[in-house]
Amino acid sequence: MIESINSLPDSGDFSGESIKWDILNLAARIKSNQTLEGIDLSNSMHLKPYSVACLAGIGAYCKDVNQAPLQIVVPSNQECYEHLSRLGFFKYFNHQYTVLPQRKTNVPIEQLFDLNRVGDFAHKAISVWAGQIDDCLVNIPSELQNLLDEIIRNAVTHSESPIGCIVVGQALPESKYVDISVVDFGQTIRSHLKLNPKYSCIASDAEAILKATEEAVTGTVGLNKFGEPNSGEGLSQLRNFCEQGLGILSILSGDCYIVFAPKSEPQIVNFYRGFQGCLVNVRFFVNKPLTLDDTNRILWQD
Amino acid sequence: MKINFPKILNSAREGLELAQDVLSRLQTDSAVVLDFAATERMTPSYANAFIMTLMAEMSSEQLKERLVLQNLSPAIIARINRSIERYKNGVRLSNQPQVA
Repeated sequence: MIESINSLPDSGDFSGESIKWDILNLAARIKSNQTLEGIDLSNSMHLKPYSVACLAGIGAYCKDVNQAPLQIVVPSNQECYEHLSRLGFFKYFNHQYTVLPQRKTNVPIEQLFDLNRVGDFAHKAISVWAGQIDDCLVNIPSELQNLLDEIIRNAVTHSESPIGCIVVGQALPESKYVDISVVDFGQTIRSHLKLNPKYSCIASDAEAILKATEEAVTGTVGLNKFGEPNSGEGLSQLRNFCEQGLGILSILSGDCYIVFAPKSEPQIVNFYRGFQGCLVNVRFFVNKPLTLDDTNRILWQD
Repeated sequence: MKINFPKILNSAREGLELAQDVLSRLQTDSAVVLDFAATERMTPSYANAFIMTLMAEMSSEQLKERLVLQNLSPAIIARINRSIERYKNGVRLSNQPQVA
């Protein structure tokens, strides 16, 4: 079966007005889909990072796990085709392609299985994306590098995903923001959190996502599989960052996604197909001031 | 004894190992000096693993006297202070006894 992706545009920030449900639904059940033979992107005009990440993840899963690479019908739209080509998208599919020269503004799709390259990748990727935006404030890139580092580490460490995680990003200089998506096809957030007896009573995916973004919540007991202790700060910091006005965070896992936006209550949206894994999508506003604690001494020096 | 650090500190395991190394050295050395001049960023994971492991074994007064942290950027000071505050507020690493 060849799955066709429609030509409808999407908002890209999970605001609900228009989202590529066809791509999300296809990704949601890829682990149990035994009939997919290819994906038809001929009608695709412009694909946001989360769409590209999900599609690349689907390709990686079929290629690496099912040992059955998918056919791909490339976009008829030349700009869309070249954009995907520069991202290295077609290597995840059974497709003969010409590698287009990388631009300095491109960061190819990254697939990460372990922690060794996370720091360097986060550093380079944010430098490229934030560097395209003239009004990017000086202390923003290192903060974004830390946040991206933590998002990827979460996925690699906790997801048990057979494809690791896929990272895709894009800068929009005119709009002064950077969109980044990290997707995995492992366990849901709820499944991970319930490994910790403190959270064994979590009853829904929505409750799990909300809990995971609270301070000091982690599913890790003892050391994680990489021999590291966790203390549950990564997602809560990211949520705080966005709710302060610096971004929009969307987390899809299991049967819902939740949007954490500036100065608003979390918006919970049902995703009935059920996403087997996790998709974290963040839109960072890089021209908004970040307030840092201006203490210039270590607390125990006081 | 002086230790210099790389540009990116992002591994919780390395933060844990550093803390264990410092604690080991302080059994024989009067002080340990850590120079972060080359460090551009430190993630929460690293800072929490490093700071919370130290604070579980030594008091603030002991750390103030015997652990010297040099050439810290404002962002890294803020990161370390955040970990200290979290520990003081009862947050613990997953490998530490949890505060009820």
